[in-house]
Amino acid sequence: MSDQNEIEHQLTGLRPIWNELFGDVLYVAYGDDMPTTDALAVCHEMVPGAWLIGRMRSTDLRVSANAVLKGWAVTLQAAATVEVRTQRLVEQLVTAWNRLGLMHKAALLMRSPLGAEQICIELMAMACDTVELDVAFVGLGRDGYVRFMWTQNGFTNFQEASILHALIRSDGLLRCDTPDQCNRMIPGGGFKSFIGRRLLTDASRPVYIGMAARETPHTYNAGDIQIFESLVEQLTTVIEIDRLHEQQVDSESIRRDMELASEVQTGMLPLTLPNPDGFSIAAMLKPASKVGGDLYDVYSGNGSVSVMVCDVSGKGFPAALLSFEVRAAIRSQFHSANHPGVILRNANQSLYEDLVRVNRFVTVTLLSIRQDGSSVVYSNAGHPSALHYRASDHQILHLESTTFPLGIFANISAAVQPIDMEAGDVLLLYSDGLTEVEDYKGRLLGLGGIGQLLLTLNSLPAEGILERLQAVHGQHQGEYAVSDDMTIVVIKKLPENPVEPDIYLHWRIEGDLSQLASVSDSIQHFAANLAVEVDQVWFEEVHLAVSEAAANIMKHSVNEGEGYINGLYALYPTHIEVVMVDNGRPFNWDSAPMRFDKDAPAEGGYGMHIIRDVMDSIQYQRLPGNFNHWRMIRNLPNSVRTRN
Amino acid sequence: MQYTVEHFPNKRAVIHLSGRLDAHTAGNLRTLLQDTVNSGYVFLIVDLQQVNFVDSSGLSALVSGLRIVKERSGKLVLAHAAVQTQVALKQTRLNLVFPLYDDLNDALKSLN
Repeated sequence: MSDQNEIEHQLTGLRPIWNELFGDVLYVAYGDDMPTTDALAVCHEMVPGAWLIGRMRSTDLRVSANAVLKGWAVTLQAAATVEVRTQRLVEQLVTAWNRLGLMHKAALLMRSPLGAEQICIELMAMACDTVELDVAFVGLGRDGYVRFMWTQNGFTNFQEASILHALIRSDGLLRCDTPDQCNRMIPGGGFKSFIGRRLLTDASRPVYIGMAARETPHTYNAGDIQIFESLVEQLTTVIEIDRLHEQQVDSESIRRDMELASEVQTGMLPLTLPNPDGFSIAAMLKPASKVGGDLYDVYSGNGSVSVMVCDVSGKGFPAALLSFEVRAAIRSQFHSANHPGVILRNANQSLYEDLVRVNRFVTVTLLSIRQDGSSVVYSNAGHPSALHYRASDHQILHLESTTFPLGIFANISAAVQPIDMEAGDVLLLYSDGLTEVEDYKGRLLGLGGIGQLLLTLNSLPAEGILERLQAVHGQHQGEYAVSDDMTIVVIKKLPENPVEPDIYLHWRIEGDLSQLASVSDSIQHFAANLAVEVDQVWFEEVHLAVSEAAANIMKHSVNEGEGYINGLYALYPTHIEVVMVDNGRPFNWDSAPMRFDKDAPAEGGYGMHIIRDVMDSIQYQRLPGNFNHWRMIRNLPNSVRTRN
Repeated sequence: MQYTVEHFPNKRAVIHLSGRLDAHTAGNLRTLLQDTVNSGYVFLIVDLQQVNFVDSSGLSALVSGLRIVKERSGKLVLAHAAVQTQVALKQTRLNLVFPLYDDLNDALKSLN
């Protein structure tokens, strides 16, 4: 207790001064009553078992920090008995206060709209003031050159080079307390004392900072070093944030360039598609990134319409640049020729050297339709074979290559093949981005999948087929898509009296009985969108028949979980048509009528009979390519037919 | 397909079904009917109130249930068949095989 009284006595004079200066009460904690410190509190152990605690707020302070603390130090010195202790206390308090002040100002600066360079040099100037040095600098390195910014003018390139050399050599903190040390370490610098180092930022763009005295030597105490180190931390943060920001700006400008390139490439696609007599054309292109190596072109002239689909090997910007050249080379031929083989042969001749030089090749399918619709011929330079849906027998024919890709041989053949197009036939030109997508089980959409789609969708207009191909492509690869460039061109030879469905709905599900519910969902959805109102019993009969057909395919044709089933519901003025296509085993159906025994009813085998009873016509075909094709029609009730 | 089974005296049980009775769930329905009969209930009412779709496979499962109860001198009747169920029954002519009730009490009484 006597110790406590002693200390209290000593502090009598200090208390009012403290209160005056800091607007706060100075108090002393004794024994185990340890003070809690926060960022703005400072405390010191006066004597064993007693803590002197004072709180300072930077905003309360009206006078310069150094002046206040010096005043406080003198007062403390007078008040305290153990001089050594107070000496150390004063030193630590000054350091702590300075660090706090510096950090506070740094925080304010970093929130300011000033640029990183400006913030750095301001911070350096502040630190310089705090440590009582004359001058400070920041050196920013870029492209092998370091640019110095000083808080005062009048430094020569020679001085800067000498500093730089010393800092690079020191590989850490460089500290010179005396003029001698300065002269030895930084010859010709003219400093009385110096402290500096390289910041730990990206090596390709180094940053150096330093502070120096030019008039009076300065012996750095521990507090100065601490201030310098916290300065290093602050500046490193400022610079890193600035560089992150720069990177963002860079990638933003690349993004803008890509977008422009994408606009250019999209702008090269034909705005309107010419339709040769009796034909309808729909086309789309989706690059994997903003731009890609896929391109299509449609050109009308010389009495025919030419349709070109090409794919430059590779992706992205380099492929896109080449695709522009390919388009130009082929376009230039259109003016003088309409023979696809000759056009491709000539284009190869003009592109060959360029393509060889960059080690790329181009696959192209080029098709020429006489404007009067009388004939169609094609050449295929190594492009994935186009598909030809032949309406007369529901066959999918492959239009194979007729010659080599451009850029492989200096001369290629000019062979062409005719395509015998009849009413209702559909041609599909595409790039491998369409077929080479996998679903979540790794199953390729492939030519089989696309063939199945054509067999299902051929009754739709060209645009409808295109839209469905695109949608299925997206569904197939799901959300974890690795995308490739994709081009689709659909060419349909219109039937004599085209009757296209008023409303249709296409679905594609896995051939698994667990998917039956989604068949119900689809037909209900279709019914909900019908322009005509049909009564519930009529609808439920169709619903049941459709579900039976799908279940039949799942049970007997497709190995469960192996393949997909495609379905199309289409409303025509007099009937609805249901098409289902799968690529499972052939279906053997017993067309004999079902024997019904009321007393011993069969425990199965009703499905086909329901379909036959409900539908007005059923066609089943086993098609080449292992396709099963079902086409079922039910006439609309007379009351809702829009035509007879 | 979900279900609950309610037991009544005199070997009677009401099987409340919900969801779909189709080719996907018919196997479960067959097993459910077999299990109910095995536990001694042979006068069965299948309550279809909460069923939203029945196809020929679902009905076939009910036919197999009918055969099993008949082998034990039991009965199987249906209750609360919605329009869709009635369409399916009519298309298969099984409406001639299964007695239909709109009221569970009537159905229970019929099995007494």
